[in-house]
Amino acid sequence: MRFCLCLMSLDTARKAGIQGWRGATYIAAALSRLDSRPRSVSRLNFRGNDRAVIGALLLTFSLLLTFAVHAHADQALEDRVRAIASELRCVVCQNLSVADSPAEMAVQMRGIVREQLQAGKTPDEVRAYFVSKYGEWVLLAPTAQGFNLTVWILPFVVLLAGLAMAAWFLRRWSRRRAREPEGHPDPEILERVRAAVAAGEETPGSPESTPLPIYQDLRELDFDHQAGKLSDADYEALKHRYERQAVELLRHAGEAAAAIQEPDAPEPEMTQPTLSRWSKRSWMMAGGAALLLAGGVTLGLLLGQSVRPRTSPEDSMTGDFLTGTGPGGIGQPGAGNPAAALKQGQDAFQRKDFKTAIPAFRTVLRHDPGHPAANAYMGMILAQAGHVDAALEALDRALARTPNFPLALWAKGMVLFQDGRDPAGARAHLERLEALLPEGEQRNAVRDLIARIGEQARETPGAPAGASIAGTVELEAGQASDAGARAVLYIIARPAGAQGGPPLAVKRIVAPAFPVAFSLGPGDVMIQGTAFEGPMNLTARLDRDGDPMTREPGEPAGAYDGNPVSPGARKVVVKLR
Amino acid sequence: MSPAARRLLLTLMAVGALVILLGYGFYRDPRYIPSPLVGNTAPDFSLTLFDGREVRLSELRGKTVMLDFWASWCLPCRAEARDLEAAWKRQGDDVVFLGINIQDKEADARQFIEEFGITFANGQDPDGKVAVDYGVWGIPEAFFVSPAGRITYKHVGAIPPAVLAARLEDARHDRASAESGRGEHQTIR
Repeated sequence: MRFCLCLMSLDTARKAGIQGWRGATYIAAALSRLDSRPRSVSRLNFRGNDRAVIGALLLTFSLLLTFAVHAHADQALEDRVRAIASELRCVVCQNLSVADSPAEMAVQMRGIVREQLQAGKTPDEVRAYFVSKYGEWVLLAPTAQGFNLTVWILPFVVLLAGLAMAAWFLRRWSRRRAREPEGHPDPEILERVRAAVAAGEETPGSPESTPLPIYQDLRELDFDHQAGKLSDADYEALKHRYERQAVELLRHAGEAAAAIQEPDAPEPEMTQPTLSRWSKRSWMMAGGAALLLAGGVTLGLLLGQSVRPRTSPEDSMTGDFLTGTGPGGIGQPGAGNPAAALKQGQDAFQRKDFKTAIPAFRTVLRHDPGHPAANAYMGMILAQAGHVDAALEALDRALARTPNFPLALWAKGMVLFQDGRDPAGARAHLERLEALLPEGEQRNAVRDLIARIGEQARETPGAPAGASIAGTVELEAGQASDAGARAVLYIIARPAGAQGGPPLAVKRIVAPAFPVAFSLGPGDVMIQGTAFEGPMNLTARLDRDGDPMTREPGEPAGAYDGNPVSPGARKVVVKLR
Repeated sequence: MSPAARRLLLTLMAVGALVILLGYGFYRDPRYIPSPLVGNTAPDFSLTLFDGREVRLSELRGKTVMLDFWASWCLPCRAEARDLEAAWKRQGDDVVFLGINIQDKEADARQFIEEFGITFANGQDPDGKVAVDYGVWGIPEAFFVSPAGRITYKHVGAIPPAVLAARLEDARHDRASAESGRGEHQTIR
């Protein structure tokens, strides 16, 4: 950025007419030339005016500052737009936010968010606006009020209920285990149990004290074993366990009748000796649960950190964290994050590494086709590559979004100035830039440059430079001033007196932001080689759908009141009605 | 109640609650957006009509207004176009039909108007601001505005002539409906 502006201003200085961008050099080289080889400054064919060089440099730095402020404000606004848009639900998609949706409606809604923020509304007010139109439905996260509270609270209630249930089951299992008696069963009682089972008796004791109908279980066990459903080992183990439980039951039933009336009474005595074993098991289980919980929380946190909405169709959900495709990562330049892509593009531009800069700026433009900074840089790259028309279109897009974008004004002024393409247009843009700058040396430097343009025009009489028509196109009050991104403004010059036939020259301005400063000159003639001269009638029309083949009635059009006009005319105002 | 019966009852209750929740989720249309606008003042807007005239909603106070959001690519809009035109021809001076074309190419919109011989006022909302102001999400979408400037009814989808007539009558008397109507519609883009 710094480099480019300086080399541009040095170029300005060098030729005072600018022969091209291709001779551009790094500022380091330029500065060293200024410092160590002062004589070479005069070789710059600068009509011996060192002050102008210094002025141009100063101007460059001030522009840099203004641009930096602008770019920062611009990026901050985009971030705020994105933040709000990501909380709004896209009304035409399923489960997509307005920020992530590529739908036309979502694009329009983002535009409305941007507009309202620019108008000074707070994020809350912007959200409230959408809620007033689409209801709470439009919020991706419902507000924690009234009935909506259930959505916020219910998951935690369910979680707590789940934990409580798990705890209850654990307690039940541990109790059941605790009830299993230790040691060898009394052989006498065991015989009684076996006899009772064989005789088909019911388990003694009340249901509360006998959670398991053990005799019945033992009989079913025998049946299953005989039917071949149980292995011998399982049969032995289960039978042993059940018999021991039955023996214990009988022992208690026989020992004290009170134990039957108060079935819980003997339990503490039984659980007491097994407490240490039980607590060891429970500690193990609690440890396992804690480990699981910790794992889940860690995973959740990591996923929350790494997963984010896609910022472009090429982007991945895990972006920079797991795939390394984010800013600074491998793969596409700044694929994930337009802000990072812009930064990367700027850095690459400074290094004159256009191979990296171009895809980076394209990434930004894919995300936001009207991005002023990205368009301005693309414009400069295209101009350096010699694609002047494409460069002007990019710069016009930048100026359409932000009419007072210093970098774009500067670059467009330089492009128009280059090769004497359109000094009047260059002048118009530099004058706008001048108006933006605060009074001071920088502004004087721009003024100096503008004067230089006029000087050059005078010094090369007859050159196409002076032979353009410059002025503005305005919309009459009542017309919608926002022409839309697809709209194209045509400024047309026809030879005076000619009825029909092809126009002499046409200027095409994409996505114009009214009032539009224009300059129509020899570079705009329809047929190469035709002279841009003689009296001509100047008209302009706005094509809202941008399709030159269709011509809808009702589209704003107008002619210059002072027609016919000759090349060299200034301050021509065409009003569209 | 025996423990087994109690357990069965509990299980049934839990499963039943889940089934009811799922049923509710599947039954309702997740795309359907209930409008908070019905009963409130209609947002004002101005529109450039296809014939070049400018119309502002607030200037239509005192008349019953039917706003119809449509697009030429929307099939239900085509289906209702002739009915709307026929209904419009039956209305007196105190009723205004205003078609608002959204998300469309101007040439296509004009073609549509010509194809169906539509004579009521129509204009384009190129940047979707009016559509968002009215919370439009599916077209055709009709809003009925009373002479006092209040939205009395909203209908998403093609509107049957009988409903149209009845709701116009309601709007004329500033009677707001509690609910909005639904018919064959298409989600906007």
